[in-house]
Amino acid sequence: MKPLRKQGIILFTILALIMVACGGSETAEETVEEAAPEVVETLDSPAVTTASTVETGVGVTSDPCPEAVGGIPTGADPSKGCIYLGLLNDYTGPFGPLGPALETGQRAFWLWANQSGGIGDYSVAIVEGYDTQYNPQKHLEGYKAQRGEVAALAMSLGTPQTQFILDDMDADNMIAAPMSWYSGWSYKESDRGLVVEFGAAYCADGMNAVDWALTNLPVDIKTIGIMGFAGDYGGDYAAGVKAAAAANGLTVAWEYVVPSPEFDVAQAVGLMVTQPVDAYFPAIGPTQMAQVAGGAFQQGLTPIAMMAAPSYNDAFTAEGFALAPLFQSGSMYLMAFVAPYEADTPGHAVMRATLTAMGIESGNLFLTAGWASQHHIKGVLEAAVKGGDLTRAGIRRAAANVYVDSDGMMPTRELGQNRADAESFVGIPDATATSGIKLLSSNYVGPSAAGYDWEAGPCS
Amino acid sequence: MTIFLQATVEGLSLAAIYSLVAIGFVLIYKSMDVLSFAQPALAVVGAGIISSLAVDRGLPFIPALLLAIILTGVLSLIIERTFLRPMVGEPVFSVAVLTIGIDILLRTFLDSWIGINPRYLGDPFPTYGTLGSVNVGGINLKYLEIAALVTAIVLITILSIFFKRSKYGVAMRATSFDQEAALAQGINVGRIFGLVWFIAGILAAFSGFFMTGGFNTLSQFSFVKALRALPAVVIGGLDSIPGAVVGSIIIGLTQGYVAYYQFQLEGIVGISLGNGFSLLAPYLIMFVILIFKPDGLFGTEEVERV
Repeated sequence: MKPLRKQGIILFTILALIMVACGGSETAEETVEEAAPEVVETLDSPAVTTASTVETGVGVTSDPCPEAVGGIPTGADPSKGCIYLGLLNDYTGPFGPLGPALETGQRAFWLWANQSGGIGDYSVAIVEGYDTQYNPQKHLEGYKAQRGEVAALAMSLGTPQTQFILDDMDADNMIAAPMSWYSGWSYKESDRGLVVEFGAAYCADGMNAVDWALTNLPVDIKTIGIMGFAGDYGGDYAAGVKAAAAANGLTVAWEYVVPSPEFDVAQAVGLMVTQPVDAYFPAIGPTQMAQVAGGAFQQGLTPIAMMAAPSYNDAFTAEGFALAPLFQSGSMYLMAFVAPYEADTPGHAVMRATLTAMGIESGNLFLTAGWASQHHIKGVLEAAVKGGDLTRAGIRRAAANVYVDSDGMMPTRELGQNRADAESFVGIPDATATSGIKLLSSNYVGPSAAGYDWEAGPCS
Repeated sequence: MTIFLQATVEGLSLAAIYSLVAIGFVLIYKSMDVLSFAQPALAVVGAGIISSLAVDRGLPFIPALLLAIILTGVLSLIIERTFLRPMVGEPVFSVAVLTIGIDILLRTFLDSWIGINPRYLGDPFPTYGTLGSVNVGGINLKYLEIAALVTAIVLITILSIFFKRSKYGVAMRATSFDQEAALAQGINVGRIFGLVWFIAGILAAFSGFFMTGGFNTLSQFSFVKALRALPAVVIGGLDSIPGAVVGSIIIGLTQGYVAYYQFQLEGIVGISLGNGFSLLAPYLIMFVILIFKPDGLFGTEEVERV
């Protein structure tokens, strides 16, 4: 008779539950309750005044920027001072393979911006990136490591991760470009005026996905299904889809939104089989997307799929992938957070020229996202210089009251207006495009998003 | 009826995959009293090796599959020799935590290799029929799932014969019954431990393939599916191979039926069980069974002096 068996069962059960519960969850609780000094917006905001001298603070030096950081030239003018930006990236976590593409896009942007005149008497350099591993605790460590040397963050990757450092950012008056499209980034109640959002929120994408499909596809859509990852982009996207479904009188046959480790592909396919829909709106991961789409097709089901951007991966159109024909069959579409590499705008043209000059031929969507993310930071820094206050408090004030432009890559946006952007990009998987995405519609705003009360606050 | 049969087929297919992971776990526990949490990681590592050989290096699929399965077995053997052997005789808890560490170590290396793009394994299953499936009387049968069922049955049969007829099989049974007595009878217990881990590695690699083959693809989240085999082990009993199979069938069928019927039943009854219930249900069954059979359905009953 073996000893310790019952103890073994108990131990096994507890550890198994812990492993299952912890498997892949990326959410984090925010518990810090420090009071933070408030930056008051006034009519003297730097965005609307022009100063002759510029006050500077942490992360701004009169010494020139280094010639290169991370192996990429900064393009800095040696006769100018330097504004340093922080970088909280993921190099070894779940988004590790995307991290370098995002960073390259961002560094390429400032190479171009510095060579085009910089920000007043300053060039801009992004410091060496910190590997957050998409882990909120590491994110905070990275923030603390960089906050003493930067004026703002060129990127804070991930919604829960950025929320985790928001108290510290608030205390430091540190603004950041996010690399996520949570609708809350457009509202002070959620981001305290610190997150310089760009591109359409997942929620707006959800609304526009419904309206665009109803208007542009030759399918009579009456019944829809929603599937997504809760606690991340899935909830925001689902909120948008439901709002548009209600506005259009569509029936939501099912809504399967669960945390990513709990997503059961068998149940998702089971729902599609037992309660068939005309269209479904997935905001899940690429692996689950392939399994759901393939599983449904095997059962003879090919409803329209309007994917949130994170559901899609350009590997879906790669030669040799079994589902490549399905993804390019005309039943699958995606909402891109920014127009893909090939888009015909001045901003895209400059980006392509800069990347090509750097020897980069990839059309990866995340290179484009990295580049596009810096346009609004640039607009904020220019406003701060114009107002004569390049301290972090001054930069924060500028971010609360400024129009930012992106050379047509995204619509001109008024930061601090307390309403989310609603213009979406709709694409279709296409192996012949450099980015793997063929753009079908730019800056699309359907009637649901147009009629939505965006001043009411975040969708989720 | 068609829906019921469809749910049954899918549940049995899941059961086949779970049983391969579960049997490996039971083999290790029976022989060494080690609760190995590294089995799910070994499963996805096996899938990763298949993908690397078949897709990245262009080996024909069948040789790549066989080579990867053997390599996974060898990796498992190395893990036993380097990490587990020095822990023989140490408390169960210490060894279990060590296997969690091995699990994390393996997955860290694997995740780094996988990256963000899902990887496919280069198998031909999706090219058969309709993306790898055939419709029989309104029921969709997937070739990969049928292969999983057949493979599980064949492997379980081979293992049964191995344990009853082969010299090493009998030695493994003797070792699992009483290590010291086996040692006294001249059985090389250390070699038996290594063999057990080698077999468990092979089983894990098979399950890894069936989890991620076809268009299922291998990603950083694939191991979560293998984790779902763990309640099957508890239901069946930690030291029972038939129990592992029965436990897997219970878990697989539960998941299959809940996947297809939960929302219909909720509509009829008017009570919502929640969106994650299909994955929770196996654990509820596990708790219920443990209340009445604390050693699992087929586990050896423990008698303790009070």
